[in-house]
Amino acid sequence: MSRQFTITSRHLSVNGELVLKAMVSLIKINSGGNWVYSDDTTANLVIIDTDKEEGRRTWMEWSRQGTQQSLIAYTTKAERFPPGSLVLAKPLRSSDLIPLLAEAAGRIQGQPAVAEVPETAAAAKPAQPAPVAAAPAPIPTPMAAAVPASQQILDTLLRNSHSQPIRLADRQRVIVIERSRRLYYSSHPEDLATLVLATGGVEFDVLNPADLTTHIQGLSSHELDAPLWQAVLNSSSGRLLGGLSERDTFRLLRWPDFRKLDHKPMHVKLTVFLSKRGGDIPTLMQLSGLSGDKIIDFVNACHALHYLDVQRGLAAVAPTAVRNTDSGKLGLFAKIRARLGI
Amino acid sequence: MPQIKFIFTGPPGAGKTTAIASISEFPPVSTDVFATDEIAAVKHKTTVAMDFGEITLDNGQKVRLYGTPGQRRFDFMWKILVQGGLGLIILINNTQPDPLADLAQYLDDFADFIQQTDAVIGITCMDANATPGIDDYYEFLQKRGEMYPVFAIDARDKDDVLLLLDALLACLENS
Repeated sequence: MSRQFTITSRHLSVNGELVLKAMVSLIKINSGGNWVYSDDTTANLVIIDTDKEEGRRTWMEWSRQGTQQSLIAYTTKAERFPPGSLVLAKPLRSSDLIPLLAEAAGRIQGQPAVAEVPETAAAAKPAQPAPVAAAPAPIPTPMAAAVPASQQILDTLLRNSHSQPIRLADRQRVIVIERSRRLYYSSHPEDLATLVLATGGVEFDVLNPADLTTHIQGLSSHELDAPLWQAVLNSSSGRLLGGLSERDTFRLLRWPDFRKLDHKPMHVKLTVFLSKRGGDIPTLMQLSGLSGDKIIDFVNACHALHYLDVQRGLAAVAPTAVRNTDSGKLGLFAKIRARLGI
Repeated sequence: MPQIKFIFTGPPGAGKTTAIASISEFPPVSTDVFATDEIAAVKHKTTVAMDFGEITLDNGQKVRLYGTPGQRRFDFMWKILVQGGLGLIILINNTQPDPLADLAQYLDDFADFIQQTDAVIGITCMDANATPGIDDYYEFLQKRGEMYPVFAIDARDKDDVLLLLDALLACLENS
């Protein structure tokens, strides 16, 4: 059974930390051990953004102190670090992180024991394995515990900046997702659903937009919205993805294009509330009479297509009084719908 | 007995007559004349007064579909037509020189009616000219502090026109 290690970070951006957490949860068992992201400051491995001044100070201070923790410098200036340093180049790629985690695991396991047994005593007693420096108790991250394997790729995708292309690949297929242009590139259109819903074995890389042309060579472009929308609706299962919280307030920036996107009448109803008023999940439940699961699935799909404005963690505000459409008109509208078949 | 009606409006050549024809039970009654002014550059005929189409509900009630005359010199008809209307469908031709300005004009002209009811916006001929895009229309609405459903549609396509009505009804039901 592979040993468990903990990893934490310092001075990363909020988005960078979220991506790192998601990436660690995806690749945790491929990298020399079982890696778990932790907020514990005494974690085995610390990734420090050394492009920031406070990050550089932390790096230098900890390096001088000779901490038991392994350090990885997360930077755009890898050439500044001496040979032997663990350096992770920006932007964050799983293909770069995996070998570094394996190297770090090797270094951590090669560290001297905390309490050394004297040679004479060791000769007299039966051989005992040298005590290994105790690792901090792994703390499962709420995110790693909350997001099922089938949603982790989507969750990571939605956490990433809308402007950054994403490359997903397994042994048989590769796709590049360009959310800003609502396109994806692949050999086969169905590869998108296969990869975003995969439960493991998928490389997830954030690309430099300047390198996009290189990565999409030989691939065909396809419209992203409909298949991504469908994948999210099918797999969402009432769990907010992409860093969204039930305390957030949501508002639609536009109506989904229901000509192209599969939808039900409740989605149209939710669109009215989200576009005209907005609200958090409990408020939307109260306004629409729909279950939280259904609302969350729809919010996730809108978030995936970058239709959503999200106000983080605002206190829930009681919905303002709704002007009730009179029942006579509602009856008339129902008859019109029935006649038109809508 | 008050009429039940939806109002289709928009500049000449936006597809109002065509949209009504796609869902009306009978070919819409149009009072067309041959275009003689600058409209002739846009279309062969133009609606002088209005278009009139109809659908019949299961209980026999009639829902009227009125298309406003496109030319602004007939705008006196608009205020008459919207009285008692359920809601507004604005059609904008995306191949015209300034579709956003066209939209602004109609949103302003029908502001009172929209405030009492609601509106939905259909952008036609987007396959012929993709700019401004749908995101541009939403950005434009946001700057005005307004939000309405906006869809790229083909006025000849019944399902597209029904999508507009579906969205409009949803707004009216849940306002």
